Amino acid sequence: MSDSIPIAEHTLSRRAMLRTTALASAGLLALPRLMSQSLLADQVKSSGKRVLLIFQHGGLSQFESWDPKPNTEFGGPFAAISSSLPGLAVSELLPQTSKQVHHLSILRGLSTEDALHDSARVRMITGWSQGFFGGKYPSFGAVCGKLLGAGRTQPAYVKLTDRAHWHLSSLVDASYLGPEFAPVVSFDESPPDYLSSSPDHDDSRAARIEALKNRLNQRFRQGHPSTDADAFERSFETARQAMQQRSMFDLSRESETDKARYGSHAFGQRCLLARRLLEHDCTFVKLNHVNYDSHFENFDNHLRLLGEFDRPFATLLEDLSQRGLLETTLVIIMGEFGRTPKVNSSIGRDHWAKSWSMAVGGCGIKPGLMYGKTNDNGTEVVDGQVTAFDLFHTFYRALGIDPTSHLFNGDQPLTLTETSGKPIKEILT
Amino acid sequence: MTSGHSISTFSRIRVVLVCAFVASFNLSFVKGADLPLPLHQEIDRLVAKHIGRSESNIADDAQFLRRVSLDLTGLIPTAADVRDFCHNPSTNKRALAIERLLASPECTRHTQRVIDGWLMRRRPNRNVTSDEWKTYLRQTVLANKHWDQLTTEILKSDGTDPATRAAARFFLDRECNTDDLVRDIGAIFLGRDIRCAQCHDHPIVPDFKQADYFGIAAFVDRSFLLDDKQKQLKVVAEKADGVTAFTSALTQVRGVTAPKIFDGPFFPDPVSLTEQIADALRPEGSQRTNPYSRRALLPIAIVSHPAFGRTLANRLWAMVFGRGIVDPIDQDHGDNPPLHPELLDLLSVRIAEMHYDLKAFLRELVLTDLYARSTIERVESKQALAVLPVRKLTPEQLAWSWLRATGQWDAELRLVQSEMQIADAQRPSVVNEPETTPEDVTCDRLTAEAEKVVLIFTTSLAGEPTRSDTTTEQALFLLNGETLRKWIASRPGNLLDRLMKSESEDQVVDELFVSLLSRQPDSQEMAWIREVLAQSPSNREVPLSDVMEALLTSTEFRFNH
Repeated sequence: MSDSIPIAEHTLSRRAMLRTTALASAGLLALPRLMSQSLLADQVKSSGKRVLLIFQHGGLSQFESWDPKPNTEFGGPFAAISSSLPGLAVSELLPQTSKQVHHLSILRGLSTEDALHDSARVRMITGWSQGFFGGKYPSFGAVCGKLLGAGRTQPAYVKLTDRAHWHLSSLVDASYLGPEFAPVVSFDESPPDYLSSSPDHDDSRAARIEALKNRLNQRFRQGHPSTDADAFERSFETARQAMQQRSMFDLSRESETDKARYGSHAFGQRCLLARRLLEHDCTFVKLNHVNYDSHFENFDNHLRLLGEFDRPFATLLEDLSQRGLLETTLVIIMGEFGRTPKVNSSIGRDHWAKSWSMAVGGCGIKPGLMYGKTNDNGTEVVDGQVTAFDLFHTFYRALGIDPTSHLFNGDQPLTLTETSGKPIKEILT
Repeated sequence: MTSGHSISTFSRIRVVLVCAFVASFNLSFVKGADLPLPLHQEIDRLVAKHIGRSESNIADDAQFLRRVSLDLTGLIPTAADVRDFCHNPSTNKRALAIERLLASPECTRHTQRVIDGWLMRRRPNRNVTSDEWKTYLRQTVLANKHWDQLTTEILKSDGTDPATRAAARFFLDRECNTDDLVRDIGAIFLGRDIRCAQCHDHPIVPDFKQADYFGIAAFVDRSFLLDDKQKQLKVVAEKADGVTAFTSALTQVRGVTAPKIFDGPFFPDPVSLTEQIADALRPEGSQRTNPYSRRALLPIAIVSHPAFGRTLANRLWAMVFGRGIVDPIDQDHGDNPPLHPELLDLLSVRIAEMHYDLKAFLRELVLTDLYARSTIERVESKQALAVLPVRKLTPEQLAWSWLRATGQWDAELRLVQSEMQIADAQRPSVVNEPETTPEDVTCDRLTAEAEKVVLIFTTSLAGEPTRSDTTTEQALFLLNGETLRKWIASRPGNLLDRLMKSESEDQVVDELFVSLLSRQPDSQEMAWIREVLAQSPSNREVPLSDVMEALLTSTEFRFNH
């Protein structure tokens, strides 16, 4: 792929043309790849923006978090408490978060159609309801890594997750963007696997192996042009960059005070690791919390999970704000859907995509707003309904990226998210 | 002819015989054009019309052997195989090598893994144990069961009969979930993943209609997973009634369908079914008898549909050529035409004539001149078929080829053999004892470690079509992981052990290349290796290990070419 930038005047006229041409947004126009990618590059060049996506796997219950309905038919046993955002009551399961929530805007009108884990997760992570012909769309993290990550800390895209749920988080990936945009994964707050060699395998050995391998590869590649082989060889460059940054994953370099503030449990340490990565200018950090899929014992489960979540999340928000990182970091907290109003016979709540909530703040987002409302007993959205694609339009706009611009799968132009979405102007700065 | 018109009988007979001979010769000369060509020649003919033939583009012996070994046995060839083959002057040695490989136990193991991947896509063992399933696959491959027979067995079995229970895993480990079954039956046997047509006619592909989705669903939606408490196992049960109805999420139009496979015939319930149901008064539990089974018709409907043979042919083609004639192999529809329709049509007909014999069909594919082409060619033709792509080794090929290349397999086998000898000496062998070879035991012992490597290089979820994309983590594993180093490390009988005992440096370099890259080194490469070895003349173990690691993580090793 070429990185050359076309002459300015052609760029300008092309850009003007795209703005006025309806076809451009349909994704059917066969745009010359070079032109379109340079437009994106111009838009987001040196933006220095990053994303923290906290993903609540399995589907957080909105009743037990952002949109409590105490003393109603479906409200459940927990009370609601006031928060630092006037007019916003959150579940009593989020006491520390309630004091930090003024940094965020809360969306309570999500309605996303898909209540199956796998496909809903694809929707909420890629901004598409399905694949394109022949493949799946890349994840938000991979796209941000590509558009925002050039020349910055590598790896640009890091996932922090549970080893036990590993294949849950590998559901989507960098797709046609290429393996260098796939995430590096850190399990259970340890550094990513294989980030350094064993002590008896020192740098001189590594250098020797590398040198010989390069010679052999060069010889082999002369007769064998292949994009697959290119991707294979490039993956070692990305790996080396990750190795050079391994101190970024070393929690022992954080103070004992901070470790105590975040809590010694896995999610707590993971939040501290996320802060560290963002401070090192990692472009996209996906922080997984598993498993909110409480078909059984919904209330016990949320008590436990939000007990893990509340303090470190609040601490993280506070720290990001105090360290001046919030302005340039888009913070997103959501799952793949919400949970049913009706409580089932196992004292659980099932999947519910019809009316649920999420929280967003930081870069490009006005803090302290409530957007979207559900009815009194939480069974439908009555105001400010928002689809997954509206969300993605909003996210990209908050980062200064035009979501209707294109990335290319070979010659195939693909927009960044479904064009049916509209950004939520009320919460964008 | 002085005798005039009195020609002797003998002469007459002789003349008749000569005429008959000449006539038959002429006939066969005429018929020669009509005598059926072997399939591999038919393929070459068809392909040559489009891409042209060039002698200089044939792969050399070493390239060919490595490729065909990987494709038929999932393993690079042994060093001995490479040397024997390259030094063999015989002109039909490639055909002979193909036979040898097809008959090998490695081929059996490889075919088992391939079929397992197709059918179960790494789904966890829930209701049939891993051992039961593996045994069933092994028997299947050893008996060279044809694909139609295997398909029939796995779609027919309900798991109640211990003799056929493992075959029921297809249903049992999908928990008889209709949607999983429809998607997988469509994709695996018919080359059509129609999951997007579940809620409405497919939004992009006009060929996939909601009625098609539910036509297949109708075969299986009366079936369900039954927990047989008496026998303590889960089996596939089937209701005798139920209507398959569907509503389009887009148009709200409602439909009802009898079982059918795409454009194939309907299989409606018999008119007398309601009476039969009333007659078959049902006792509770597993004694329930069903007067009519829709599911029993599923294998018949599938095997008789033209897509069955077409999909198998395409799938096997993809396996050895790196890309299906229809690509992706589960998107066979009007908007995704085959690269060479005539070729695929031919293959579909022939594979049916071969009764879906996997081995026989594979044999024909690897006997083609097309397969023997080098991957190092510059072809101007726009036909994608003309260029053989280099393709990554599958995760299984990579793991097991590393085990062979490093000699870890040999070392383990040696250990197993001595253990078995001791065990045999200590007790007399029993007649009719199932024969477990030392190779089988070795394979079992190494499987857990091999699987760890396989997992790192597999980038698809269980239940999804298998993918192996390159990732940064794989690269980190190749740079810093200990598994490969452990396999390289010297151990009695493995490669490093043998190399350390060798006196001649030239022999060492030769053995390295032949064992690891399945070819001889050129003089430049010789020089490079000597340079590395010279860095530590007193103890060659460290530099030798490093050379091995470089070769085993090289692009040349990583790819099939």
